[in-house]
Amino acid sequence: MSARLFRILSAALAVVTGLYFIVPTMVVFWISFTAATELTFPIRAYSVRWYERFFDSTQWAQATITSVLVAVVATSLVTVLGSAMAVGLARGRFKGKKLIVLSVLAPVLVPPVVIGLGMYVQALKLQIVGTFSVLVMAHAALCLPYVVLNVVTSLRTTDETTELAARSCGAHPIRAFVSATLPVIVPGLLGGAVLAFAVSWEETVISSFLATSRTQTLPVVILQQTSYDLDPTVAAAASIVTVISFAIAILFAASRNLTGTRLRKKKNELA
Amino acid sequence: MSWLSLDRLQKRYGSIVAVADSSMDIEQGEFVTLLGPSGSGKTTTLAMVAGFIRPDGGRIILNGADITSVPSHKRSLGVVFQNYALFPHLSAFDNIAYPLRVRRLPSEEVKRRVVETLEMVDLGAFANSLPHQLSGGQQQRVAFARAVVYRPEVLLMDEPLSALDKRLRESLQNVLYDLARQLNVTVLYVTHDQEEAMALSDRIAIYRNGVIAQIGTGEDLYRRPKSLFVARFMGDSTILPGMLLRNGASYAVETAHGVFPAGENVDDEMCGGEGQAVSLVIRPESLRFAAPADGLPRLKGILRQQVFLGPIRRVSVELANGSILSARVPSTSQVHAELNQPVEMSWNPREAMLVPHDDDRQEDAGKFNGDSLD
Repeated sequence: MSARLFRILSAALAVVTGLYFIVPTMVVFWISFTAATELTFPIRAYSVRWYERFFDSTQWAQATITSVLVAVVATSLVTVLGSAMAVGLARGRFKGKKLIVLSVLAPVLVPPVVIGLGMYVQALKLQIVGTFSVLVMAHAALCLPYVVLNVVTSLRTTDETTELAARSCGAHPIRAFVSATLPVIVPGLLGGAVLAFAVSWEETVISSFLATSRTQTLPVVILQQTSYDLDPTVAAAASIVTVISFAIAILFAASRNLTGTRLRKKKNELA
Repeated sequence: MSWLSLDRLQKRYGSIVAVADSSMDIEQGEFVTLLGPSGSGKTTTLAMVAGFIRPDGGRIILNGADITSVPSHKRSLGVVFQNYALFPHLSAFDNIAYPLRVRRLPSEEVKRRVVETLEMVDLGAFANSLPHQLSGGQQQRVAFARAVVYRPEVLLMDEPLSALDKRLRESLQNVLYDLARQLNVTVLYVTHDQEEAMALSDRIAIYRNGVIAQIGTGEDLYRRPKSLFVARFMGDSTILPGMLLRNGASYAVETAHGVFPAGENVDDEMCGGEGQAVSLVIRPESLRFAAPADGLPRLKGILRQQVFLGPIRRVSVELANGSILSARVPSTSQVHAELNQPVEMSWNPREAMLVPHDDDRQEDAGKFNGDSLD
């Protein structure tokens, strides 16, 4: 096989794979602009009425606010706690460290249905089902591995002696961490935060266990609506969720490049 | 009273004793090197003075104050690390400014002192460079500048040159020597390289198994070692193990190669008197091709190699028992032998050194430079 043919074939494969992933999403986008009252395609007439319906509905508005609030609070919480935990895991030497690492990774390994059920049973006992706090706590637990893993990875590129150097220069240990280590791990930390936000934003299964009608998040409402009736507002809502998820993905990519760009800029200034 | 005193410092890790007894008094402006093989306790001692490690016992007195339990950032220290440990995201200027900014100096003052220090280490043109844009030698000069810019009471350096190549290391040695004395800063310097230690230091403390084996000037340690360990660590030598004999008022050593006068530094206290196991140590530069009937002690052997190296000739002689004696004779002196022919090497008995027998040389065997002739 010639190199040229190989290149063309592999490009074609990449396009097909891409389409495979993106077409179902595109279909949802497409349907969301239908003028009809059912979730069917192809579409005969276009309209934005389902988006209007989405923005007019108090149920959807409530769900959007809940989703954003839960994601923001859970992400903030988990970024601070997860970073602190990452520093402990990357730098500390203590017994049972491997066990802690494993338990941090649990949310990635255990099926969401199992986690959801477990949390539901406990929340019932504590009588906190349907509260905002229990949603935040559940989401934070799910997001923890993404922050911890990202920050641990970027801590590997730092050098602890730089912190010792800062302390010998007269900096309090906390200031030494902030000035020597923090700037180096900020991209990893931001990346972890963005991923955490995305995980919380898209989380469906566990939230359906824990939410009541007052505290349903967007994905939960979408799932519920889909099982009752196929009102195209669901497609509009799903499209909005997806657009925001894409925006987050772009943010994540940008945060990965942050330091690289900054260093390059500095270099150009000097040249 | 001395400027910096280490008083019986101790550090254990579980059952392992890293430092058993580290004691010394250092004067202000003195350059003292802690020298020893890896694991001998020199770096642990430095880390205790820096405040990075808490000693299990003993005290550190700096400028009259007991700083043993003072945290690192409240000691007036400058530390230079082997791997530079610069802030990777800060320019050379900002790295050097860091200790001044931590101390909240006015920005005019910060700028003046940083620029002055940059000039001092000859990096005036690199103020805006980030560490990764600088060479290893330049990074280490930035690290040095950062450590001295606030005029610390003590400057600590942990193998600062060992990550650099040989030529750069030698030129930076000169820079460090000049700057340390120009600033009149008290320096505690750690290295495992005895030539570097001799090139830089006013005094050297040789560490072995967590204790100071001997402390003194480089010449003291080289010419008047108190143990075989120190003799070997300070440089190559020919070592003749034997037994101490009393010969009237003077001493001699009976070895496998004959009986030789014992040099000048012998006393009963050091070697334990007659009949004790001792070693006679002869430095390569003390050996000469023996002239007939010169009355000097001599060793017989076969000339195996003689290499002209400019000022000196490196000579290898195979002795009767197969071991190799190495000598460095002035290249102007006459060679009295052909290659692979019998030759006699002599030495001035006053230059030979006597040290007590060393029980446990096994554990340090890898670190010795000398060829043992036993």
